[in-house]
Amino acid sequence: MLDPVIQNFLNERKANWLKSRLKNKTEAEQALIEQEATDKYALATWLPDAAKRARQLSLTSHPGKFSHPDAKTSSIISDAQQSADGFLRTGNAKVNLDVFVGNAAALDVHKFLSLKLADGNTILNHLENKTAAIKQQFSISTATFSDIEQGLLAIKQDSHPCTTTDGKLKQVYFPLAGDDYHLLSILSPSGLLFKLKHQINNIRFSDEAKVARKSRKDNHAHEQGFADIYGLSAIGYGGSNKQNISVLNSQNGGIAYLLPSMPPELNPRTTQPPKTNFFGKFLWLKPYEEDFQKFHQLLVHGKPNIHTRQQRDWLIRSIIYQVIDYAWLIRRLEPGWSITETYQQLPQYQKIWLDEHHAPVRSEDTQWLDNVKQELANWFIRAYDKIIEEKKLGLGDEQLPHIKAIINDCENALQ
Amino acid sequence: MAKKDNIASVLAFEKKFVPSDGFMYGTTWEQRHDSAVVLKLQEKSVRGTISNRITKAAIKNDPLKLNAEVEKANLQRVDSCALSPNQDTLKLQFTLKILSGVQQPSACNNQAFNESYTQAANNYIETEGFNELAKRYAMNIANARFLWRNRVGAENIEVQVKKLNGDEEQSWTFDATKFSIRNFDHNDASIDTLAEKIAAALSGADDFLLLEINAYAQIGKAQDVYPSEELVLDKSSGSSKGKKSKILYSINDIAGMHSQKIGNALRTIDTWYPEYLEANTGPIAIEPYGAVTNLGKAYRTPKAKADFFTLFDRFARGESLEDKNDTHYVMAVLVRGGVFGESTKD
Amino acid sequence: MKKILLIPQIEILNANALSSPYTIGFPAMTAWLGATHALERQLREMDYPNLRFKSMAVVCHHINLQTYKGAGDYVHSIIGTGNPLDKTGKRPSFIEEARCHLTVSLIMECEGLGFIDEDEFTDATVQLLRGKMKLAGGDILKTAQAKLQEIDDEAEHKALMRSLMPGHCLIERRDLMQQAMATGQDAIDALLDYLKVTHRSHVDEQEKITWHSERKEKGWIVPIATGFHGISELGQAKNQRDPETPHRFAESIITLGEFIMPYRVTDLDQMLWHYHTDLNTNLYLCQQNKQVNLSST
Repeated sequence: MLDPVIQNFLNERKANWLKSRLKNKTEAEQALIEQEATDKYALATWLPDAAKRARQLSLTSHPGKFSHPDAKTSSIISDAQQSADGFLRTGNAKVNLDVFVGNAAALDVHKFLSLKLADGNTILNHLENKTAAIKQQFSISTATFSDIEQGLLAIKQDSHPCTTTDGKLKQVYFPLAGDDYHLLSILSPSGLLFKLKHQINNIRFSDEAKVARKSRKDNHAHEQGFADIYGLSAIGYGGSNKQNISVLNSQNGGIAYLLPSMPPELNPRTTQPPKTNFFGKFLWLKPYEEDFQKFHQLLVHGKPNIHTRQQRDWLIRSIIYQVIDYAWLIRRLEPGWSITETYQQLPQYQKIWLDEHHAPVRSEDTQWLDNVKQELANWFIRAYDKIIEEKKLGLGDEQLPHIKAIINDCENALQ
Repeated sequence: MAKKDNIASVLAFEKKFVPSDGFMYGTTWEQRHDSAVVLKLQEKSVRGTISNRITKAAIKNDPLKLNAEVEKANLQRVDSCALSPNQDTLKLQFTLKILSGVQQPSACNNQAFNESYTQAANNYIETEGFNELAKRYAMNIANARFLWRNRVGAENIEVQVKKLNGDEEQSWTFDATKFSIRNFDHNDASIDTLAEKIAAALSGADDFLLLEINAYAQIGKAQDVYPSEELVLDKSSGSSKGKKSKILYSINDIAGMHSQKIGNALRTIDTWYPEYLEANTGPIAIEPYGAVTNLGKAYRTPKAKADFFTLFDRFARGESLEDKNDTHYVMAVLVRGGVFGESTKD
Repeated sequence: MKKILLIPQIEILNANALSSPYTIGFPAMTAWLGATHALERQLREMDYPNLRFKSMAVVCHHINLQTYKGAGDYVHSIIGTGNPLDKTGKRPSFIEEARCHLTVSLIMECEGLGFIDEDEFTDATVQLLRGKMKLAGGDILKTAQAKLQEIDDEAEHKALMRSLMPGHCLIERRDLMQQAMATGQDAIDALLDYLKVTHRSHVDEQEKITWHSERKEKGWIVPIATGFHGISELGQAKNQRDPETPHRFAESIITLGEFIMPYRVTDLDQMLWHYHTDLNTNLYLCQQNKQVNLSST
């Protein structure tokens, strides 16, 4: 018996074909047309025809048209192996092959090959393994199994007689040891591009995420919470001819996402310099809590050995670094901000430190720098006291020298 | 004709005219050399009137509904840019780098082709020395064509050019209103000296030339100025309501002109295309098919055998083109740069 | 001791911001190493035949990405450049190109310079950069004067780092991806786990609800393009740009990186990158001379 999945597929195509043809016809005419459709979409007719058309498509993991809409390249199927090497590349995430479309009229063949039979394997899988099941399904009077198999599997063959790249692709010389090079034609793995998009949309728009997002809006608790990916850009492939790029492109509306890969930039509109004291409430403690907690745990529970001391110094440095990074962001503001009345209560040494307007006088007298270092150390101790609250240890004499030493170490970043 | 064993399927040239973006400042004509203030973009809401024909019968035939519909706030948000009330002069500043090495493609995968092309290009440099092209490029600096719409109706336009590289200092000042943008027939000694510098760079006598260009256009107090418009390839799929309908270019908060737009003006030197005399379009930008974007028209078609690829195929293989102007055109496209592999020509 | 060539404050217009098919922003490491290699080749052809730039670092002082996000848009859109019309006067289809304008400083570790006139060398370098070269596909508008320096002790190192401020240098954080993938995550999930911001609610003793947001790892962690992965056999292909060099198809690869301010770098090797090819795994990489220890554990 024909697998119901195949039967349904043929029925659907038949119904589709009939839809536009039956209108305004007499009953006799309709009967004729129906007969024609029944013949056309019988497996014995459709299958040999599909086997002929399969060559107009080719499966590939890296369609060339993502690099240029007119690029004509070999249809590569990469068989790269998985490895926990830390790279997003083909082989390190499961994706389906894409389809290069030589002729859009043959796309039904790809759909057919992707059908999953009762055992969960696709028709293509079955053909590749020449299973008894598929031989049985494809036993028809009009063609031999091997003709059909070869015809359909042409979808896995490259239509180019020899390996072909294209001048429109980026071709990169990569230097090897010695003075040799390899020439790399760069292609895009469309399966990975769209899996990435799919996963991002999952994070943002899944039903669970929607429920959790609503909870936050209403200030209700939610056990799992939810996540966001910020700063995405979208890129379009193929314009109004998405289907010409590839099947996956068409299925994804011709749009893929790009993750932001940018250094931190100060937004002058949202950054305000301190009005009275950089080391006061201006330095919001929240981002430092985690490091201070770890620091505290280390002081309380750490064994007195070199490892503990290194950990401790690492944490102090991490905290100091964050403060200095912040100060540098303020330095990027339009010079001269501190001269205005708004900032008249800010101590002079902080103005010299934070406003690039004062850059020329920084080397004249370093009293301001000593002040900054002293106040930074004081802030460190105050912040620790505040975050750790009642369980705190007096940092005082024991830790202060380490803190000061590390601040001294960063001196050139404060200047 | 073309022999088939010397086909370069990969062939590319870097551009030799490298303008920066243009920065816009406001000043007064009297103070133009002393001080200028950056021009910033402003966002405006414009209340457009309903100008499309109302077709829904229910609305058309009910005066109350019709009124409501017409008065519906057709709010559009647009960027704009203007001089302040005490400024009457736009200053546009950019740098322009002109490079040598047009005889070497940046990529070419056929040795025989490469050799015959280099030979042809060297011949051109020897016999023509880029003089004709350089003169036209110099003219397009002097006539301030790169101001585009900002040039229209200006009372006075001055262009100052300063050479930034090399040891000897050199500078030029042009009264742009004296030079036509319709033809290149002018004879002017200072244009000639600027052209000499450009030709020396293009032909490789000098490594490169770096110019700073300051143009001043007296357009009137508080007048609108026209930075480049951004081409946003919108993928946001948000509703079109409340979207900005015009986005202008700015760099670090200074209104700007795209480098590409300046480059396009500088290479608007093609008066050699077939329909030049009849079309009354004037000089067009050097492009492989002589395409003019705002007209949606290509003046140099393969059918007329006037396109770059047809001419270049012959030129690069050592044929001499009957019309010297065709050779000028071919060299000008190479100065523009691009990807010209042979399989791409169709 | 290291001898370095410092080229400060290079202004680049319209650099390629599409660092891989997955990322947009700061140009790919392969572009910076590629430019370094091209510069080395040109200098070797001049008077410095034994010169090698063993490794290099890039510090970004300023970057302006050409994208646009309207009020209420979920994603940014790329700002394009008008592509030329074809022979019928129509706009041909094209792949969107993302661009950025940026200012960077480059540091190149030199070897084999020999006994030379250093001013002549730095002048030649700047002349090549201004007159012949492109960087990351963009045009070089300006550079400051290049300098040759010896970095021998801590004071010299610190002075160099100070001269690179303010700015951010790119550090590889492949270790994070490796750790996550070792636990069985696939590359996409491993990557996104470090990029996403998670919002969780917390209920205190008084039943007061607060929501807070966090990322998996501290620091400015971003995806970066660091090389290529060969996806076909080496051989000859029709239409390759040079028939003499072995050819294969490849894809861009990305991993995690971190932007840090140079003052945090205690050893120059922590910011320097070099080429590394592993033909067993078909990887063509830019990797760091030395990993920075940025994790507290």
